Amino acid sequence: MPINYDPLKEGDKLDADSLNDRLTATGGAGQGVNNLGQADLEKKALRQEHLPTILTASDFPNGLVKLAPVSTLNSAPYINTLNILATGAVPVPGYQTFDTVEIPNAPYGPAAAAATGWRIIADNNITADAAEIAFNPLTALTGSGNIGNYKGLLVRLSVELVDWQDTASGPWGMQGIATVLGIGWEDNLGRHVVERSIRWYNYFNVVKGSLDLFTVIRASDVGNNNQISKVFGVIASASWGITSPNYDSPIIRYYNIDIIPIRAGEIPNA
Amino acid sequence: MPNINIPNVPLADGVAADADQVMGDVYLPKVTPDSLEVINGRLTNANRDGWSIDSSDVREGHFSQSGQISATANQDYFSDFLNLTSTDTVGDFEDQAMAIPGCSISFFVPFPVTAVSLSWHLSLITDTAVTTPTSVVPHFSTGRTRLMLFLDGFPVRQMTRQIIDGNYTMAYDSASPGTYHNNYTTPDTRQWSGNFLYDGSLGSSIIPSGNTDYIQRGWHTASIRIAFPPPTLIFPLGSPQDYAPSPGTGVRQVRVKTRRMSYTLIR
Repeated sequence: MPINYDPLKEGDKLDADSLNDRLTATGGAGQGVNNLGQADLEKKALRQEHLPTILTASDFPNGLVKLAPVSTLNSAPYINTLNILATGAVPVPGYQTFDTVEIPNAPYGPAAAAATGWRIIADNNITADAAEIAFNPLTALTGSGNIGNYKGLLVRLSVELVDWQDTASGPWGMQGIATVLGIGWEDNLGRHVVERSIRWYNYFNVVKGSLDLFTVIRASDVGNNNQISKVFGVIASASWGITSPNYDSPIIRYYNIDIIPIRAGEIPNA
Repeated sequence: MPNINIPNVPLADGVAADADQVMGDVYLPKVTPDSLEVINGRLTNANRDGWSIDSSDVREGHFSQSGQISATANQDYFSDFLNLTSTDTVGDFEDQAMAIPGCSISFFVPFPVTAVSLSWHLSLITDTAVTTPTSVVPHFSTGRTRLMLFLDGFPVRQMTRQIIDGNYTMAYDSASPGTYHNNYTTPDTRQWSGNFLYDGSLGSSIIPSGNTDYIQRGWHTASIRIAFPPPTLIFPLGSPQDYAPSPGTGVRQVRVKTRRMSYTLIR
């Protein structure tokens, strides 16, 4: 019980000491109302006033969302490619590395020249504007399936595709040029892309205008005891299965990425 | 609210009891409670002694709440209603943008939250004034439907998407206005499966700058709005790499098909 002391009885002294004892027992440090146990409450007694936030505030000091700059006029064309432009090459997105073109802040932003591999979406190559969210490192534990206090990180990415530089590269249709997007993370081992998040948006595609994808990053993705500290969106241009290699430059404008930590089970005392 | 720290303990032994002090310890309502009055509904998470909260402790709806709205009936928008010109500004078309029923929602936030997650989906087809419906290139540059997210009446400019035309099935040929063209096999219906998360970190990314009202208690609205800005408003001069729209072209009609919008509160 939160308040449990000997009541004063007839004949007991009512003085400062006896009052101090009882006030301390009911509201002293770590006692009484400052130390309510689970058994002190009725089931379903906790309302929003009593509850902590699901998220540990120190985990995400930069917030849960990142938007392109309001002033974005036109993110310069992304002219990097997924494959190496070898004749007939079929790119395998999941095994692509990050572009190594040495422009400012590589691998962020549009490349200055044709390059190979993923780039992190960033208007005008400015890292601060990148479609990425940095947070305090969260340790993945594959045994429990936890990443920090969470069962996974739901990451959602959306990119406004303005156009391709459709310079008649062709071919059209299923083998035509495409914008390829994915969601990645950074941990103590480096940058990675979640393979199952990768989507190809071909030239003629029902979703053209907005390229939207999401994925849940799990502890098994990150690896046991690795510490994840960023999530980001990646982009590349590609064509698939053609004999004459081609690519065209996707031109994007606005983008947004957010992260929703998934919490389940008990919430320990913060 | 932190644990209470009873103010007048210990009472001094040998001194005549002071009723004000004793009552200050037992019951004295304050903005930040420090007496046993805290049990009058002002206990918080800090008063927990370390046990883990599980589902049996929590009243339903007090960690998260959500809701959704949707519609399937066709909703047509015609350019006659959105008569923007090439001299209008971005603010003009934001003012004219109309909320899409079924992709707009109002909801109550009963307590301050960490974030509000919105997601929506809509499918639509745009009919543009394509004058050469069998040509490939104008397909991308003739007209685009502008969709924008508005929160509590304010636009979130980054949550803008230009939806290109539905290609040629509904394309208009001035030489044969009664003819619908099915010359290409490309899809007609465009889709936007959008998402947005609103938290206190957005700062100057949003309008009004630094606004955090959306995560505060009260009624809020979210809507996807539609407008048909003239091409000159889509790309500021000098910025497009391959796009030189012709004056007078643009969207003629948009048919919004299925749509939905949902919200989720994250405590």
